[in-house]
Amino acid sequence: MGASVLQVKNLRTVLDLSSGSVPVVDDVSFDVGAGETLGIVGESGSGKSMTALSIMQVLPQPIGRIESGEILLEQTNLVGMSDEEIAKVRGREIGMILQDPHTSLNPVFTVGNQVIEALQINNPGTPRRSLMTRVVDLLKKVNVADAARRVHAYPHQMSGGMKQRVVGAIAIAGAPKVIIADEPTTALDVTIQLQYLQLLREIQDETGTAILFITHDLGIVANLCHKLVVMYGGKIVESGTVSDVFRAPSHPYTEALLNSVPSVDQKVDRLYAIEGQPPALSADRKGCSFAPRCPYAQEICKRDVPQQEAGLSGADNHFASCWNMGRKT
Amino acid sequence: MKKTPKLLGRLPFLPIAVLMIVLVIPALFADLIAPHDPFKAYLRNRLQPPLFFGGTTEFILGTDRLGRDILSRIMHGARYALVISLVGIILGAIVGTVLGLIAGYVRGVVDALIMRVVDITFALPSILLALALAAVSGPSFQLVILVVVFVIWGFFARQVRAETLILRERDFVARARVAGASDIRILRKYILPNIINTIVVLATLQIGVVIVLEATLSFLGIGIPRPIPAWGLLVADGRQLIVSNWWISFFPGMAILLTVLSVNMLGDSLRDWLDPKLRQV
Amino acid sequence: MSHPPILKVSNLTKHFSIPHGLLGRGEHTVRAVDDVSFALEHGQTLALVGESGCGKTTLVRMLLRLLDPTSGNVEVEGKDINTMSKSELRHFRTNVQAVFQDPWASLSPRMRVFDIVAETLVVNDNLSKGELTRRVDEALIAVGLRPEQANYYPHEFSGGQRQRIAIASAIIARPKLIILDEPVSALDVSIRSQIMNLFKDLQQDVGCSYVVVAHDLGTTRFMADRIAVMYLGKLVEIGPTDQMFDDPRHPYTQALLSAALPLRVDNPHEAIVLRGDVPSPVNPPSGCPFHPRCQSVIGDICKTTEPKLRELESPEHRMSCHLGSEL
Repeated sequence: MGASVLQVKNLRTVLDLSSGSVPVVDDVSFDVGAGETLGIVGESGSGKSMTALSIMQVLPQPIGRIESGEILLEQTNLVGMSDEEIAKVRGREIGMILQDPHTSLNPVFTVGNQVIEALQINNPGTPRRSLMTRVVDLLKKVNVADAARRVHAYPHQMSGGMKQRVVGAIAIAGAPKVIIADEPTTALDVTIQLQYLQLLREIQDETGTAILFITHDLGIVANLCHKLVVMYGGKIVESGTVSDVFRAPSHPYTEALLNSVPSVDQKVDRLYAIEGQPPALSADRKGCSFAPRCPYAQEICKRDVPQQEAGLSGADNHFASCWNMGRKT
Repeated sequence: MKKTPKLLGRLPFLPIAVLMIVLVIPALFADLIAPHDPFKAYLRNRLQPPLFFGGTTEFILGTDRLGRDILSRIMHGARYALVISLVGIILGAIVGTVLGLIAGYVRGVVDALIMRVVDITFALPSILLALALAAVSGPSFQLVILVVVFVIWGFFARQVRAETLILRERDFVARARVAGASDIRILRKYILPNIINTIVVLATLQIGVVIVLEATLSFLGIGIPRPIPAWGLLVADGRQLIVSNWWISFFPGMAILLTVLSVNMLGDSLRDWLDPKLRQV
Repeated sequence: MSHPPILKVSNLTKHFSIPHGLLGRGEHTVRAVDDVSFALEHGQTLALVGESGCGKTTLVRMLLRLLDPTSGNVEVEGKDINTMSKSELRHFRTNVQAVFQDPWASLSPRMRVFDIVAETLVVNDNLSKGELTRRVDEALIAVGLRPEQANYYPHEFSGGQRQRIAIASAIIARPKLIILDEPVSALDVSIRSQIMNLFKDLQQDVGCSYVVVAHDLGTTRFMADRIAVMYLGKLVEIGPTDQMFDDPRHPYTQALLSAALPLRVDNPHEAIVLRGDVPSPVNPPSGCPFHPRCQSVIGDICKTTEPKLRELESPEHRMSCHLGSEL
């Protein structure tokens, strides 16, 4: 694992709604190194997808904007770049894989054409014909069976898993430094999901790209990621290496989340349930956003935002933000 | 709990104001507010120009060849424009919605049959049809309504069918079947309430079409019979004098233009407001 | 004589013909569900698992009488649901209910919660207004909502609460069998366990049976007494949950269950990664439909002969694979 490729520092993204400016990403910081996979875990409204959209700078317009913070791709700050500059970064230095393979591809072009499109961004002026062999190589790399014939296929002639592979080929066409994958396997069947995760691992082994993997599935995180960030209500509540966090979850939300997922290893009679609902978007928030659902919540939790505490489980990169860290048993 | 946005606050002020002034208020209160009797010929004041064009405050928009007050005639004409568009559209919407619901819900042969009839009505030139009917029965109020229904029901049928096809596959319809709801109940309680918005928007947008249609028919002399001051007839009255006495056709024409324009603007904003996808955020 | 099982499915088959070719003159037959048989006892839960195109959705629609079978039959408490009299059908409609996956699509946005929840009773029973209100209140309380929420519209609720409304409307007529079609997969992770516990509680309180369709295997293990695995319209293995998880016998079941990624980081998880995609049900492979992806093909027999469902050590546990049959 090399130096930081992508570094997000104190990112704050807001949506300007009629009810006011609502922070959807609030003081979020993390970094991903080359060859490293960072999982961002959260549920709807946690800000995990907004974080990805902020990095790509494709926030919903005109209401979304980055209010403050830095997004450093190697040493370059992406925040404040012009549209032309950021367009060059997208597709070349950052690849993106979204949840739904059916809407990620353009239905009226062959998949070969769409991969060529991505290659041309990086090799401007190269004739399309000469890129064709590269396309077939790329499709082979993402395990599209019968790649030489498939380049002429249209998206509707492919299965969901196959399409998502093509999306993957487009994402790696520019040999990006970072791949942002936003729930890339949620729409796939479980056996196909497994193939896809293996593919991502192979691509990473081969190219050393950093992967930002956004998901709600803790099983995937446990098996694919090196580090993870747990988000709740727009904030990071806990972060660390996967093994530290899974062995010793320090934030009550992480702990509850890990406990509430039904195990495939053994049968239980009752699941641990987190009561209440995830927080709604709101302009005025006080205290810890998990406090209303937290079994350990006290007065201070409802009043003040907890500060991040480092050095948990003996590792200086294991952080959590909770008032009760020392107190709960 | 979320607040429901207020409808009135979201609708555009200007088109509503124009519609009230040009169409609704005159239609409802023409007897009270019209300065003159629309049928009374002030023979001494024939072809009076409008105020500011050499006319007087007595006949603000001027008079026609027989000396009838144009403003009063437009105001009384609004009544016919409003009644015909309301009656015609309501009847057309009912016919179209019922047939569209049946086509979309039953599918198969029934659907194919109804949709072919829609295609045929779209293919038939409505003006020719009106001419033929007028030749048989003579121009009448009922004839205009009949032509209006004939022209617009297909728009409703098509749109309602398309939405019914989608809605009938939704899970809440499946749940209603599982609960044992009959087809009639499903159509009435589950499908119709979910397309009523579309019908309202479509109906609003059709008002413009119908007013132009009614004016055209009247202009051609196969619509509302004289001497009723229908807008189309008023425009027709000034036809020969359009160069020398432009106001006779111009003001009724403006009434038609303003009404149609406002109704269409209103329909567009109504559609935006009722579309839940655009309503979020 | 013992009671007939709550649900008995015998040789259930559904074929669809889809037009093919430019003018729709050719026809393909899709065997969406092919010769499926199983039974479910009172108070038990059966999970149907399988990937897209395996036919579980079609099967569920036949169980709910939303779709007529091509052949075979479905019996609820010993009565064939497709040859019922009017009054029997009325009883069936209160006795068998469903909860669907997407709580945003399964509640009509134009109906109040009261009307949504009351529907089964309104349609089938002639209750007084007061009695109806009492039953709706009761159902809402049973799913953890407040009676006064009956006056709201669905859009005023979150996903988890909407699923609770759907559950309230499913249980109000006190059905004996509820079909749960992916009941938690559209919900947030932190909400899922609430809803799954609710299903368990309801089962304990009223003794109803569930058929649950799920692709999340953790859900399956938690909810189900027995699991039926489907592949391309066919039942490939069925058995008690613990046996299926601890000792899956069909190679497809083995791969499917190993694809569930456990929440542990200590010892790496050994998953069986299958080759290729699920074949199209329009043109299924010859012999055993799973053979092109199978990691345990034993010979030509897999390509030529379709294996029949056979009993393993206990009659409870059956599978269709040539593996071990040669002994």
